[in-house]
Amino acid sequence: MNCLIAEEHFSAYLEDELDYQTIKDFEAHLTNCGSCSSELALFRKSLNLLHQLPRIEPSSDFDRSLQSRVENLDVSRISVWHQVLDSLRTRSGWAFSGIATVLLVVLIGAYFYQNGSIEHTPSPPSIVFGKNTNSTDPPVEKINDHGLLPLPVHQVNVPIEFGSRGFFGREVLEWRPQHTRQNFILQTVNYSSAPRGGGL
Amino acid sequence: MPELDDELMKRFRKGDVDAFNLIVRRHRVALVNFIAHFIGGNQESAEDLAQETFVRMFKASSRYKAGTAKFSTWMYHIASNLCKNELRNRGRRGRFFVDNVGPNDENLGQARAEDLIATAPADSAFQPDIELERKELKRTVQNAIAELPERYRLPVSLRDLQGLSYEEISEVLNLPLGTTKSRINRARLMLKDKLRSFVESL
Repeated sequence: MNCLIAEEHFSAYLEDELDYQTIKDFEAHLTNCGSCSSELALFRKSLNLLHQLPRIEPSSDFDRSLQSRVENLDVSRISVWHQVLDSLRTRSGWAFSGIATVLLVVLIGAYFYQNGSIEHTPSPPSIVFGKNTNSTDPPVEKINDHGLLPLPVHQVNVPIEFGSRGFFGREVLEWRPQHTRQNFILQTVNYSSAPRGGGL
Repeated sequence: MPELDDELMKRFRKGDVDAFNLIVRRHRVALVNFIAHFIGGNQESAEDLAQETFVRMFKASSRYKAGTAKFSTWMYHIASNLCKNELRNRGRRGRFFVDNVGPNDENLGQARAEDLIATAPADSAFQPDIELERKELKRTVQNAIAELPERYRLPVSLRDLQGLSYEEISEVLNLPLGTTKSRINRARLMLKDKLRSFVESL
């Protein structure tokens, strides 16, 4: 053991915290090292001085002053808010609060969504001619009185269903360009009332 | 048998304010001394911070969980943080000097000695020389503690002035046990060097 290591053991030696072998080594070093021996004696005396330090007595109005500070606190507010804030100060409290907040937002969103307050309002098809039925059924080939006509294939934006269900049973709808055959109901035109001899 | 601090805190949480008053009475001296030695300054500022510590404990009583940490550990943890903030606010950056800790320590010269003699109770065993020595000791040791860097001053104050165990100190400071022991030994070695001339003159 050298002097530096011996110095590191001063406190532990005086407080009986060294193991038996280290005590033997330490004392052997002290026997051979006058410097460490005198330093240890000085160490012990200065430590005793520290322990003899007179205590400061709080002033006579310490309690009264503290009492007035405590009385100025709004205890009712403290008790509620501090319980909330205290719970937030722990890691588990933060985690719980985060999860609770997310759940709350999701539940509120779901409530309004299912009650129709938040409507999915798809944008209209990019091509509109007459009244769009948005049907993907085969076109009606027959021309009737109402002017149902098979129309050529157009690229239109229509809502499509993916067949999967999102949260809370709502169909997932997306607008996606799709080649489809569109059926249009054309407005009936009464040609009898059209002016003759010109125009048409 | 006196009630444990944990039991008093339980009573206080149930609305018994007297339980908190008892806690204050039990710990106020230790707390004022700890703060006074840690931040220096006058006794008034030490008492102010000690009161603030109790106010924080009062407000945060719901946070204290009996059994998870010793009451005194919790108290010193709050006090240490307040002291650190105070030192930071003062801009002292770890170094400061004791400024009249205690009500009557300011002058230890001849005039003070005469005052001590003049104000000594006639029928007591009051001895001005011993009183002067005591005050000189107090001033010298306090100055030596005050000159320690904060990282050493705090653990050695908790150990040698407040009597906390190494385990409690490591909890208060949130340091590993080995680091705590090492810092306390280092602080004592520094104090030994600072007090060398005083000790040798005794």
